[in-house]
Amino acid sequence: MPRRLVRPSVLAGAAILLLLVVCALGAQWIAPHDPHAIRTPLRFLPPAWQEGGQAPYPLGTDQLGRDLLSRLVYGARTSLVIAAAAVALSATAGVLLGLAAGYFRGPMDALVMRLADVQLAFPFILLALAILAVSGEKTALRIIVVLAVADWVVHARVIRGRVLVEREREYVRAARALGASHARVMLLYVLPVILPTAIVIATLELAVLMLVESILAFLGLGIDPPGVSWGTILADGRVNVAIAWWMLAFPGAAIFLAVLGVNLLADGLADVLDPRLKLTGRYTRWRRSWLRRRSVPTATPVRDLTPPPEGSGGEPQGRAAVGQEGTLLAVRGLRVEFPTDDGVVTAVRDVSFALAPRGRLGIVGESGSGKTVTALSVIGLLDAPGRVTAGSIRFKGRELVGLPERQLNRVRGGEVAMIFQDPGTSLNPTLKIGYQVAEAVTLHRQGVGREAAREQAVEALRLVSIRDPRRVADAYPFQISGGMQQRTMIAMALSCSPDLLIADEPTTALDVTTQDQILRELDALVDRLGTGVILISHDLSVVAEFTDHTVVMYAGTVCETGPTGALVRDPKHPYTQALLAAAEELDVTERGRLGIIPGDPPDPRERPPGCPFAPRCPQAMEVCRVQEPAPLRLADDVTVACHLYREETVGRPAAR
Amino acid sequence: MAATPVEATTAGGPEVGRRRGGVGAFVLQRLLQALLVIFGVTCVTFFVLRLVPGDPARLMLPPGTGEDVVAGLREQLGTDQPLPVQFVRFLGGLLHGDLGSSFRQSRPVLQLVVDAVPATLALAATTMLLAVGVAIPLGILAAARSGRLADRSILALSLVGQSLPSFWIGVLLVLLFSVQRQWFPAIGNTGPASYVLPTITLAAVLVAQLVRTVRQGMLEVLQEDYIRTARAKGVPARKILLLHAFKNAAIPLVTVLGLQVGFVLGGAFVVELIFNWPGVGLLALEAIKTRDFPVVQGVVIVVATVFVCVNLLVDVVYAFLNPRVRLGAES
Amino acid sequence: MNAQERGTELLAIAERKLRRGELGRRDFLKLMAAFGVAVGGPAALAGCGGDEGSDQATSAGPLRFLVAEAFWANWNPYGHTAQIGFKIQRNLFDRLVEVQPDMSIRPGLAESWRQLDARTWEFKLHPDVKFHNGQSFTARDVKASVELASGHAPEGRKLPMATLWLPHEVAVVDDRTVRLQGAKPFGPLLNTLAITDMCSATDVAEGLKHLEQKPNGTGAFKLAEDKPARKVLDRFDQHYRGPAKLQQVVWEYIQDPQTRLNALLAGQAHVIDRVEPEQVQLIQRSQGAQAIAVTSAEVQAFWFRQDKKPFADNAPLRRAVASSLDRQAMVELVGGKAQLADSQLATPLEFRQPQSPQYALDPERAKAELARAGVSPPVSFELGGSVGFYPKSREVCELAKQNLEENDLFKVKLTLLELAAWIDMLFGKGKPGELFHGGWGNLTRDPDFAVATLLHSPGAWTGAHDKQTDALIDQGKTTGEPAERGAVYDRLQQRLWEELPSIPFMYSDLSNGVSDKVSDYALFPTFVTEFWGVSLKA
Repeated sequence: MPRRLVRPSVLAGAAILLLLVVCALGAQWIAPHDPHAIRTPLRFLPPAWQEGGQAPYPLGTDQLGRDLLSRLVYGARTSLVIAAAAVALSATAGVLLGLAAGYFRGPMDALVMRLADVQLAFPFILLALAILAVSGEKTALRIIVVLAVADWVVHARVIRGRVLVEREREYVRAARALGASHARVMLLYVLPVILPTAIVIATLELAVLMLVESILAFLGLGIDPPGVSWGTILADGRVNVAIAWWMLAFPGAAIFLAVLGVNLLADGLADVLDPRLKLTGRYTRWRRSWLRRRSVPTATPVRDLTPPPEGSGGEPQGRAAVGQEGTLLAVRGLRVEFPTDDGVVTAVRDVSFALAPRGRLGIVGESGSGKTVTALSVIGLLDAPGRVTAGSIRFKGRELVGLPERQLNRVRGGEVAMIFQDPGTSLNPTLKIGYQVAEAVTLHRQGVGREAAREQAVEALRLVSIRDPRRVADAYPFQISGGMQQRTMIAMALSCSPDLLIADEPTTALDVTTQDQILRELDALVDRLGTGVILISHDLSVVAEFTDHTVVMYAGTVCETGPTGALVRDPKHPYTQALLAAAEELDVTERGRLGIIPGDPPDPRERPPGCPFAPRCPQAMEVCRVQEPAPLRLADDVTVACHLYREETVGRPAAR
Repeated sequence: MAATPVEATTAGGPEVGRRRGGVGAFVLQRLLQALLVIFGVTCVTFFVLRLVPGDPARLMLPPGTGEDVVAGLREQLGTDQPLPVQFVRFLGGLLHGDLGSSFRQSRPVLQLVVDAVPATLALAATTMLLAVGVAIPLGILAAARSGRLADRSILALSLVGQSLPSFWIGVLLVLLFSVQRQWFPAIGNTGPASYVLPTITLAAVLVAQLVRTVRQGMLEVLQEDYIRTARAKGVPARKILLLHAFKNAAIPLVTVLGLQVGFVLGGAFVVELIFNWPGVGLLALEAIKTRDFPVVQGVVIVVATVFVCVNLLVDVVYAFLNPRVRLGAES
Repeated sequence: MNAQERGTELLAIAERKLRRGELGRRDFLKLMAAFGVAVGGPAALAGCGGDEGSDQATSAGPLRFLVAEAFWANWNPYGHTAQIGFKIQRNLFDRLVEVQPDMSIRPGLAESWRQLDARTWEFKLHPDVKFHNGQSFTARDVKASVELASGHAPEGRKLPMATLWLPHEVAVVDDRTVRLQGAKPFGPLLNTLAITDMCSATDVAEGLKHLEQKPNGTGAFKLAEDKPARKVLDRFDQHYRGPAKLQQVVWEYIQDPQTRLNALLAGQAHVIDRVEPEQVQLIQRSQGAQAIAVTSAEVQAFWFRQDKKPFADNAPLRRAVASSLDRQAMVELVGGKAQLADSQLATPLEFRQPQSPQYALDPERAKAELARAGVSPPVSFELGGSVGFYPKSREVCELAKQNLEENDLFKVKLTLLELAAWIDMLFGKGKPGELFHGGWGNLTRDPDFAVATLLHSPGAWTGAHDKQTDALIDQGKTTGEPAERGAVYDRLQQRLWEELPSIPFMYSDLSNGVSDKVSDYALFPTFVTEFWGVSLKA
């Protein structure tokens, strides 16, 4: 965590704030002169480096001969103290009110929100004028009150928003269920959670209030003499700018730098304390960079492939079944890496498989096995900063790795389509269904006008067994059920008759009955259209029903591949065996729930040497913890990566 | 005083709850709230003004005038009555659309305010247009090139803009472009050229903040699954940004804009002072000096009403943009 | 004068003083520094200097005049004593006699006049004078105007103007002759007539509300547009002196001095009022405009509340305060044509005499007076000053506080308020404050105007209750003979200078910024502005 704070911008901000605090605390010792000493003979001295300036007064003097530098130093104290006190006051009030409003909701919330509305509707300047200008003395306290009164709303609103979310969480419900009083829950449970947010907001508002204090001073509402703040110096400077530009420039610069510094610090704090605020958006993981071209991997993929000797059995799985030209998709040696703050993480290493035209391939594994990453890398949808660093992906003989974005866009949707797990969030909530489906058509079918595309969209919807497709086309995603949403996704994907459909857990988010229906319909559809399918799932039974071939992945590597029937009947890899065993334990109606295999998959950042499954493998041997097993081809279509199967015992190892 | 960018994520629009009846009921609810707010503002102004020192009657007579004369004038103005009586009388007038007469000028307050409001509104409108016109493209650009040079520069500029005191900008602009180079008029509302400097002054800080808000909103939206779907469909990047993403990012943005109108109206007071812009700000500042209560009240009420109306409009636009709200109950 | 000339002048003064042995080392240093600033200032501005020069496109448009005070609420000329009122009324109305920029009196609507006896004066009026609405101006109008202004109260309440008058009866001898007779001899008569606008008898008869609606005078301009912050005056072609040279003058109220200056420099205004001394330099440096200045008839002073402790009935204490203030430094703070005050009557006033001693910052003397006053230091009190009206008032008050506290003789609480709140503090019942910084602008050259309201009991302003002062003021007001009056005011000034009910420190600088396109514009020390003879280059 501290590492993220150590950025040049944040350091600069902290340094400035530190300087301010030093000035505030030690003004008596830092300032060279008494800031209030009026010396009329020394009026309007320019800064020391200009003609007429004097060295003891480095930044010049003001209209009463007072040293500007000293006044700036004392002014720092005033400005900082006023702003800080005001923020403390407004933050306390705002947080408490926001907490109450968000927690209790109902009338309390309405009251606080209406108060806030009234506050916001009232022109702040008039409020300040009313309280300050007309009531005589402008002491620091009054200014603090004015600023705090104007500022509490910001804190209250933000905290309220947070609390509204937090109160629905488990720990709050649990605490209430255990009989904790409202006050206790609010103060002991919710408050600590939202405190980081409150701190960030307070820091931001500190900067804002420093600015506002200077505006008030500009309007003549600054602190009375002998108090001096940057704002009052600035106000004097404006009047005298004709003959004393330094009186306007230096306090203005001081305010600017101070506010800038606090803002920088606030940004840094936000990153650390509450990334959700995302003020600068320094995402370390899921940043998407749109117009960046897909980076060319450092290692040329082709080099790693040893062309198999002609006629040998060492061809990549699946190829032999069809013949080289007929392969729809050939993935070889795929390696995907994610650079993170903690080092480079390899999500997928050395993955190879192939798919024939009209073929059905399933990829099975737990979450974190890298199956989704593999699928995403086919069409280049990896979340930045993830990159393919080795391997090749050939689609219809064409290399996709390193392809420029524009060409890739033509492949996506038109030739390779993908559908995702959660249809509810995968459809754009502000665009009508019909538009979203038609969009696919207009993108990839040449010369199709809007009307025609719309018709085709309706047809596509009809194709996926949506009754009354016209009504659905006119509707928004939130107006239809989950099943219909997924059907829409399928319609969108298949509307351009792609050669390959990648389905990432298409039914996991749906209820069981709908799951069956959708799968069956999908089955029929892809049959009809002749689309090749890659089906990704954690559910072996789904894959078993639907696919010809299966790839089992664990911790980013391929454990076993083979024809689905054979694999299910006779799993070779211990992991596959465990999966099957777990699945069989469950009732048929509980299909979809992953069986429990004791242990957890390894953290991709800390992979021990050897076979990744070794820690959980009931048949692990010495060598398993030391050396990673290479994929071994056992038969025509079957490969397994496990030390249980050795060259000598079974056959030649598969070519890498 | 400005809403920080965080408002975009947590403002969440108006208090959207489960609602039957779609837009109609929604608007009605907001209307009621709006009236409540205006009433609240009126009360606050009324009492705050009268509780501060300064006697309008005395200020209207030559200083040192005898107490009896002053008392006579107080009776004329009605300021000798106890506060609750004055308030009731004022409310009564309000219900007839009568904001009273200015103490100083013998004109109805409504007329004075109505004369001055268009100038302020025009300034505010131009400012919002400029701010939106500059901030949205920049924000989208920053989000699109997140982490790269364009993004960093825009963020840096935005940070700088947020840290500058707006009146300082105004003073400098006048010095540089009206006085030294006579490119733009220094005072008054004399035609299109005179809008330039005041608008830039007022909009500078606003743009800086809006850019961040837009950028942030876009970045959040770009995280969403449906953007991934659009990419998987092969939608070109520009269309994704401007249609798929922005349409969603615009929804909370609209709410933020509504809030910002209030701050723009408030900031206009200072700008009106620097440029002698003949709007309600100048009117109110002068009225406070002379304790011309009815005028101050009138200005505050009108400003509050404008603010509330704008937010009402914002809520309507929000409801319009957000299909969930527009089409009512969830299925 | 520009910085260079000012510097030279200062040097000359210094030399003279040095020769006469009046110059102390401190003074000399101050002068050197001032010289340095006066010369160095413009040099420092070099960084800010841009290209001043390109004139805006010239047009034969109206003359734009920016004022610093909000316009008065209504058009009853006798309903106020506000400077801004008299300023604009000068152009909308005429008076029997008129005051000139050099403070002399010339005939106005009255061609000639003579004194009949101690209380009675006869005036012969101009023929062929018309009001804006076409009516002819006759003696009847004089009768209605003077009687109303001087204290007749047709609707029950006396008008504020009446505080400057004694009640007078006006007899109409014929269409062109009137006789004014006061209850007592009225010394300030001519000077007061010089600020009493002549209204139409018909308008007066219709009542005060009617008078307040719009101005119907005989002046060189008539009111064409009436907005709260902007008045447009159009030429009245039938003016008795002949039509004005300007076709139209636009008066606009802009409260912020910087904004007024910007308007002048940007070519959007032709004349700006109340320029502050620092701004003068900038105007002088720019092309296209110049600054003109004059020492005005306004006295800035520190007023004692004589009805409160510790200053009530304690002249030595008041003198101690006077000896603890560096009045000269305050004048220099303001700069321009401001002059050090040496009497309660400003330089342009009649019968004024410089008084002595020159109260200067003199701690020894202050201590002596304190001892005589019978109080032991430090003496505590509150100083109330206003900001936003008089230039540099804040700085003057801050300097005063520093001066007073320098030698631990006094302990001062400084309260700076905006004008309305300051007025409240001064006049409100039970409000704090024992010393006030304020100013009094004389609208006429008559000394009575300067002292009667301020220093006569029961003074609302200062709590005055000194019988001797009262007697002298009354005498001055009711003495007609100039020589006699002169003697009275001599004695009055001496008494005031000794008793010090107030400590005057400065006669204010009055500076205007004038565009080079404007000719024949002159400053009046009494703050009025006349546009009849002013012309504008196309």
